[in-house]
Amino acid sequence: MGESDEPLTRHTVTDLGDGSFVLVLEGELDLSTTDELQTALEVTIASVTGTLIIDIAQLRFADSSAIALWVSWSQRVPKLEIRNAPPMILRVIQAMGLTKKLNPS
Amino acid sequence: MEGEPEESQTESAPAAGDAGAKRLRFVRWSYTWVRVVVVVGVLVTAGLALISAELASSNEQHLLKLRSKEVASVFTSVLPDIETPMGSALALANITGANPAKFTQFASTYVGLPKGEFVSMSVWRIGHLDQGPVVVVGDPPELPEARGGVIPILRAAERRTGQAAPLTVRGLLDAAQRRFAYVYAGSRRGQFIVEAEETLPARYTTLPATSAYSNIDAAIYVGSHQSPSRLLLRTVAHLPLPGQHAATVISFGTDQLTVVISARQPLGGMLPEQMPWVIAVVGALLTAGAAFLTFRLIWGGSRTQELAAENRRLYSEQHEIAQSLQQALLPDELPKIEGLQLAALYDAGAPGVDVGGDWYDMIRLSPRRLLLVVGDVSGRGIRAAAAMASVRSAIQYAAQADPPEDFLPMLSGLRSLRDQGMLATVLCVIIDLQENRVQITSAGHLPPLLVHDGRCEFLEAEVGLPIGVDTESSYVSSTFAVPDGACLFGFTDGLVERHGENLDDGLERLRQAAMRASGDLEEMMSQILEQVRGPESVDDTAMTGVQWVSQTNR
Repeated sequence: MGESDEPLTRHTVTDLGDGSFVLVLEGELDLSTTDELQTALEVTIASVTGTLIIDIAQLRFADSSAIALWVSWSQRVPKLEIRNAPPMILRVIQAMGLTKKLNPS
Repeated sequence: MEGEPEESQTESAPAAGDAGAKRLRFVRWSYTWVRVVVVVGVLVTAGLALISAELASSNEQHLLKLRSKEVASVFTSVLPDIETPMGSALALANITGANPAKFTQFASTYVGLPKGEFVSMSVWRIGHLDQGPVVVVGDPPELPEARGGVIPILRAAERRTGQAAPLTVRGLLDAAQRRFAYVYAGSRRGQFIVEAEETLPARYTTLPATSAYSNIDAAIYVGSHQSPSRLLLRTVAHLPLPGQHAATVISFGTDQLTVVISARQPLGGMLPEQMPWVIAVVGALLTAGAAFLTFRLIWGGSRTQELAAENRRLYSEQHEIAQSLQQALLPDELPKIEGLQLAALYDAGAPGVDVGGDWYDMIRLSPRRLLLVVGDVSGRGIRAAAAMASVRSAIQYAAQADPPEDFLPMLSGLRSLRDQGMLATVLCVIIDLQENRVQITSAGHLPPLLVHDGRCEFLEAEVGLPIGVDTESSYVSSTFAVPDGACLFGFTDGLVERHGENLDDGLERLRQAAMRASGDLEEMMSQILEQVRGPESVDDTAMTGVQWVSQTNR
């Protein structure tokens, strides 16, 4: 696994104003970073009353912990959508039978 | 596992007595080094301080010498002022035949305090010195009463007449009135000699504070010896001069003056004087600092080594605990079933200490049915292992009564999964031992691979949600027929997943490897694991294998 200077996972949150939020994830999200991301976004997830849109176009890698994290969020918000999923991640979501839960596109 | 003792463990667990002796040796060794540093520091400091003191002293000596010459030159510089009027007086005497009136008129300008520097001036006729002075102006001359008498001195002066002779000088220090006597014979031969006398200052003379010489003490002697009887003057109450001093001997007419001086404060300033002390103090501090640093470095280094050894020990301990725990969470032995070969393996992946979340299980449900389970709880570590253990035992319990499509939704209610936000993917394969059929139910798990007659295919059943998402989720089982001699491999994603690679590429790699694999079931699985798994894979892997033994072999 290549070590780089930049943090493994970067995220930005945009409040759409109608209770929906866009979360953009970049880099890599795996077991080593999911706890940190969960803590960082706790308040955001709690304030979603509409749709939580997770844009993962720039996410190079996501393991089962990442997917478990998204699934746990999907239990707490009215609706969750994964946007711009790279084929690799899309394939894992399909293989895990989570297409209906995570609504990937 | 107990058959492989850890190297670091044997190394880090020496006998207590041995460790004590080792520690004692180390303490002695470290103090020896501290001592060496202190000794070297003290020696260097002392050496530097001595050199500095020596330099300051020699520099001060040099300055004192210069100063003493300067003081001496003040005295010699007055000689021309004495010689000039005496030369004029001699010329007048020679021209006028020592006419008393004319000589007195001339000499009275220079004789008599306070206007003139002399107290007495007299003219003597060459060849008739015994008859006394021809003319005397001012006080009577004391020179004739001086030790040795006037005659030898005048005679000597007389002999020098006509030569380029200096002024004859005689210090009359033991006379009633301390005087300097000067005798001038002239550079051309004449009939007369002129003698003049000057009073001396008191022996003990203090210099005014404003004087250029106020920072020095001096003792001045007539002649080349520092003899008390020849002391001209001193600026201190008692001789010898205190402290370091320097002497200069200079010629003063036909006589000599010895000037000895010492400085009240160091001429080179206070710094060179104090430098040895500064060096000593700074050196002592540096030595103490260096000793302390040495001590810290030695002990710091030893502490680091101790910590490293401790870490190695903890790591190997933790690794062993992880191994034991993992082993405890997996089946002790597989069931033995006629007509089936069963095998399973678990690979920890990362050479770390974490317990993984992958597991497998083989449960004999009835004489006819065998339940084969492969599962994967997301994440690693104790939390994942605990969740895995609870899912595994829940399945063992629930599977006795219900088919997978019924018990799988209930598993999502397990607190160990829900509270931690964890997922588990589970593959359930129920093998019908009479009918050569398998019924597959998948909770988000990758499909098993069937190998038969040189063909490989994934048995794709409908994939339901992973466990831990939704207690309302529904699962559908699919049934597949398997031919005799076929092998079915269940596995977790650790086998096929590689960083930066699509899952399908990994699955295809597995398919190819399974086609090539040969030997018995366990050999095939080892080959597959070796070929499919990424070399740097950190994820754990569980794998099960079932082989239907051909009817002919039964």
